[in-house]
Amino acid sequence: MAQTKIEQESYILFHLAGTSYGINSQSVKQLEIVEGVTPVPNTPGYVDGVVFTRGQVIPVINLRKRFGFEAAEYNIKTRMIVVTGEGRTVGVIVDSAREFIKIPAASIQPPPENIVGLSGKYLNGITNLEGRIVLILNIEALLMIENN
Amino acid sequence: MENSEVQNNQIRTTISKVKSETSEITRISKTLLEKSDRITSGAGEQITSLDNLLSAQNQSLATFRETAQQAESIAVSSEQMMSSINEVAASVEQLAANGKSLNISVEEVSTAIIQSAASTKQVADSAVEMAASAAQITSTMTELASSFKNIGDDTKQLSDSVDSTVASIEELGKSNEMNTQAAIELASNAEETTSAVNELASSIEEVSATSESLASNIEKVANSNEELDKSFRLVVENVRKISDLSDSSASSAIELDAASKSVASLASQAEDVSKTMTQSTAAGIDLAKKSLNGLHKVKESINTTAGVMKELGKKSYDIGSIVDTINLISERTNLLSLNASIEAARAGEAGRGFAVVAEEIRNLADRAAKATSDISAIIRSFQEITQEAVNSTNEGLKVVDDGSKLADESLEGLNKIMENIKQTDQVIVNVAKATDEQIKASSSITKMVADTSSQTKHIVKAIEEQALTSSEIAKSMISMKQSAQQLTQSMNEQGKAAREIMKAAQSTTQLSLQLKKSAVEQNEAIKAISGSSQNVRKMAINTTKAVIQQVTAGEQVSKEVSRLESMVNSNTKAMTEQAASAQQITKSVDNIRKQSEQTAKGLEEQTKTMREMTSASQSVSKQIAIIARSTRELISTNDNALTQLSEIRKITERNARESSETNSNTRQLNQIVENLDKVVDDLVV
Repeated sequence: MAQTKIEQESYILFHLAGTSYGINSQSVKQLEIVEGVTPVPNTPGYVDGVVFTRGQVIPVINLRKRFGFEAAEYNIKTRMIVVTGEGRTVGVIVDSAREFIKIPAASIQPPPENIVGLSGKYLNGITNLEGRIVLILNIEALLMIENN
Repeated sequence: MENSEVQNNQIRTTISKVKSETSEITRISKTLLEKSDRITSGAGEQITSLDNLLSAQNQSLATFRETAQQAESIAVSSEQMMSSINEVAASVEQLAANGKSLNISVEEVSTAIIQSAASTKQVADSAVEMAASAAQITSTMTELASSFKNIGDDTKQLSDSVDSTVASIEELGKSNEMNTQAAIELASNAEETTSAVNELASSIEEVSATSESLASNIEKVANSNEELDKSFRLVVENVRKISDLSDSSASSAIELDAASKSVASLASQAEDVSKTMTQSTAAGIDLAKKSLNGLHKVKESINTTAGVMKELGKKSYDIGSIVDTINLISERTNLLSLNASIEAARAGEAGRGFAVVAEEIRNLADRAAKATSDISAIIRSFQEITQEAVNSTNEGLKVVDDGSKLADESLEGLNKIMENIKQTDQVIVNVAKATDEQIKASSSITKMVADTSSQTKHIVKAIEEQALTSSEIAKSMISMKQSAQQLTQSMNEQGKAAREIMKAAQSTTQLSLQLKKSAVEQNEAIKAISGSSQNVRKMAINTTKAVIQQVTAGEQVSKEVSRLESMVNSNTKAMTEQAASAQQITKSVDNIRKQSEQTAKGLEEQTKTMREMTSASQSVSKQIAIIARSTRELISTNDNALTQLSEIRKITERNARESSETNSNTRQLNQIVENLDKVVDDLVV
């Protein structure tokens, strides 16, 4: 009932390899500075390890590696977004995350036909935020793939 | 019954409705309770994160204050640095002025030295001239001495011939006496013996022969006398020559005296010049010492500046690390605000106010991040500028060291000049002493030459007198010759008469008496000649003595003159040395001038560097002021954030209170519903 009234949802904006992404704040548990990542043997290349947060051990996924970009060193801007969904909690490493914005649902367009493929699975849509192109990430799809 | 049955049924249905309603209520109230519990716990979490945020914010505020303090202390340090730099610049300018005045005095010294060199050269020229005239005098003196010797020889010859003349005359006298005796004897015999007339005649003939030999002897004497006269004339001529030469040597001696006196005056002038030079050089040394002191002061100031610069550099690194901390804090604040926003979104309507506050905090954190990145950039440029200033200071230190070295060298050069001047002074004193001696010697020479001249004149006069006497002797000799000829004639006549006597013996006696008288007269004449000859001899001896004296005097003069020459030569040598020293001094002074010009140039460079440093420090001061302003802004921004956070905290606490009230209300409601449920159950029963 409240959603229909406001018709907009809040998103955490983050940056990865020069591109802005949005992630629905409902899927986000919290943001953290990346600290104490313990490498774990025999894990896929995009998993940096595990981390202990709020009494829970969660896997840490490097989104640069996951999306096939060149890996980068952690720095003061690097953030871990703790997301939940599909019964799982995962830490996602991004280049930076500094903004919390509300985006009207009407302004989000579906991803273009020609990129609907593997990358299309991860995208819920694309929006133009005052000249900035923001890709809305489908975190559930990402988590589902992790499950598989 | 039926009614009651119906009623009962109705009641039952109502009760079961009530029951279902109450169970519905219970269910709803339980859900409500659950929700309210969740809200309460959410609010608690919110408070904790707000507390975290508050403490973080306080921490950041404290850091900002520290930054502000640091910036202020930097500003104070930079002002101190500015004032030290200004001080350094002032002392450098003073030093430059000192260097210029040093330059001017060095040039003054240089001109004084050149003047002195010219004077020295003049003195040397005079000395050379003097040496030449001394040499001339020496040659003249030698000539004079040789002519003296000639005269001596001539005089000796003269003396010898006079001696021989005298001897002849004496011989003549002796034989004459013998003749006289014979004549006397003859007279007495003639008087006594008339018989021995033959004897007499032969005696007369003998007498005649003797008389002839007398005449020839007299002629010989006369001839000798002529010779004597000739040599007298030669002597007179030579003596005149001597007199002329001694006159010319007297005038040369006077010239020499004048030259010596001019050398003396030049020497005293040179002494004056050397005194002025000594004073100028002492002043130069004083100035060089002063400039050295100034350079030491400059060095101290530059060292202080370098220390301050290093401190400044350190402070700027401190600020850099503080800025890093601030950066970290602003990142964390941003993170907390994002988390707060997420929580607020999850709380829905209840979290709306909170969401606004979280956004505000995020904005503030972003502003803080921007301010810190600005500060970072400023500090980077500040560090660069500080490094530049440190480099400039090091260069300045190098320049000052070079200046010190140059000043040391110039001091050394001045000391050398001082030494040279002292040596020159010594040489000049020596010259003055030598010149004094020369003057004394030349005046004694002048006197001696004058004495010689007057003596020569005396001699000339004496010789002239002698000549006169000699010609008188010659005259008397001529008359004597005539007498002798007359005598010969008489004797011849006597011979003739003797032959007649042989006839007339009586007249013989008379004739014999006559002969006796003539012989005595003759004897007297010869004695007179002998006396004259004796006189001539005495005079010749006197002349010889005088000439010998003259020769000795000439030799003495010659000796004095060669002494004078050697003195003049040593004087010339000293003068040449002096000229060489003067040239050395000129060269040294030229070096000094060059060095002092270099020093002046170095000082100008230093002044330039100081100016650059001053402008660099001014820009540093400006940058620091900017940092201080930014930091103050940051502090006020942070203060605002703190106030906002406190408000958030109050709101959150109120929220928590209200939600716990809601909770207790819900519990009460639940209790009531349960009670109601029980009552309904009872009712059913």
